Amino acid sequence: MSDRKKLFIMLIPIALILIASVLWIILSHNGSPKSGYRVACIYQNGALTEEIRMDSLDQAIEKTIICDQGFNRVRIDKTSVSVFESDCPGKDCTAMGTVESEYRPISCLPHRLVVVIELRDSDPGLDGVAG
Amino acid sequence: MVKSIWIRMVSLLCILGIGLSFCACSGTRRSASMSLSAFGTILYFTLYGPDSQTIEKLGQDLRKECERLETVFSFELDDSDLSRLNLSEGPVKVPSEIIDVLKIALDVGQKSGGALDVTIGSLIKLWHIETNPGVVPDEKDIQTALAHHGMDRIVIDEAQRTVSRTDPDMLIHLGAVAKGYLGYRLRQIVLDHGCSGVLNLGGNLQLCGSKDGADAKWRVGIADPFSPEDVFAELTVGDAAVVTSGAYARFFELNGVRYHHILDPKTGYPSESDIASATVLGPDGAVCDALSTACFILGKDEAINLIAAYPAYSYLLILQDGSVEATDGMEVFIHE
Ligand SMILES: [Zn+2]
Repeated sequence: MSDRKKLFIMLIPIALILIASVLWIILSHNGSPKSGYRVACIYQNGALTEEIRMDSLDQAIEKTIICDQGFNRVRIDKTSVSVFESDCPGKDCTAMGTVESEYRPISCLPHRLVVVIELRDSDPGLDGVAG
Repeated sequence: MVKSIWIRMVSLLCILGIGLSFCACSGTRRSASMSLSAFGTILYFTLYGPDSQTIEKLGQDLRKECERLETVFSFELDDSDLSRLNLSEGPVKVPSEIIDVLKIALDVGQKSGGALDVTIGSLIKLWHIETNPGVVPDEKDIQTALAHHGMDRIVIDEAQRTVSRTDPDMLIHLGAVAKGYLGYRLRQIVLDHGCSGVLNLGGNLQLCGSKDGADAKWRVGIADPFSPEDVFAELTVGDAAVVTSGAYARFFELNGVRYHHILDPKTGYPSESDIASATVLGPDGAVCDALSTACFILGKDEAINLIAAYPAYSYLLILQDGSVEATDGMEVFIHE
């Protein structure tokens, strides 16, 4: 066997190891997708009172949240949250419409209510949005 | 931002209790979110720290500071330090925070040729910016209010720590600066606890430290002024404030006309310029807050000149035609 052939044969396992490691890196990356999920969080008086995992909702749910000052009706589905009815003055909360973004909390100041989508167990992408 | 200014603050001494919702650790750092209401808006914080006890303690301290500063800066609360000043005749002893904020406001006010003016409290009251729904005031009343504004009507005596108003009909309103200042103060508390975080103060962002406690930067979005639910651009930012002023967050409509909340001290009406939103980034949230309002009112060319006087600050202007002007070298990713 010529020296060149010997060298070639020796290089094969090295090349295989290299290819295998590259494949392993690629596969292990794809094999662990970001397992994050979104939850609709309801804060009353600043305290988190309810947390609903959104991806497990087969259909929209509606909740009536009652406080000393009045009520808000909240709708939550797989992708969005909204406050669709309220007896608060000003109705800023219902005016915010349906929100799909994690960066826009819906707030009802008179009723001290915040409804916001939060990410769990996930790289949040953006850390915040100004504006 | 939008410097949605202390909307309906009246109702609120209601700084709400805090609620912390802890979530998964990233590395060894814990994170928690928290919402509270102060300064007439919702404050929403994401905090990162070494353990949940530290973050919980931090949450309590942040809440206390918000409560304290609201009793300093509130335009609506009768017994706030600002209201005491607005009701006074002659020099009034005020907390150092009011002097700090006034000095920033007067500096930006002067360099912007009066585009930012914290003496338009009477005008803001007239427009019911704090309350919903707004009203379009009588032209006569607007002119009367305009006759009683101007930053030369404020006299600061730093040695005595007093402020006087030389015109009893002039009212000081710090809504265009105080929220940025609040962020700046809260940032120090976050860092003092060995934590980091993102403080969203009704659309003003104050980024504190780094996300991983080392040198990771934050990824922040700038709201699309033409569709505020969407993100227009993305930036990578370190420990800094990011404040956006735009006409889209607070407005009311009457007879088909949209009236937004950023008033031009020269005309007495909502400002009109070629800017759809003005974002300012930099070390001091109060300066960012003041500059972003002034830029929005001034329009592109004058805004760029103004920021040039503040070398530590950079800008991203989204113009009415959808084009973007940004500080040279700013790493910005525009969404299609
Ligand atoms: Zn409401």
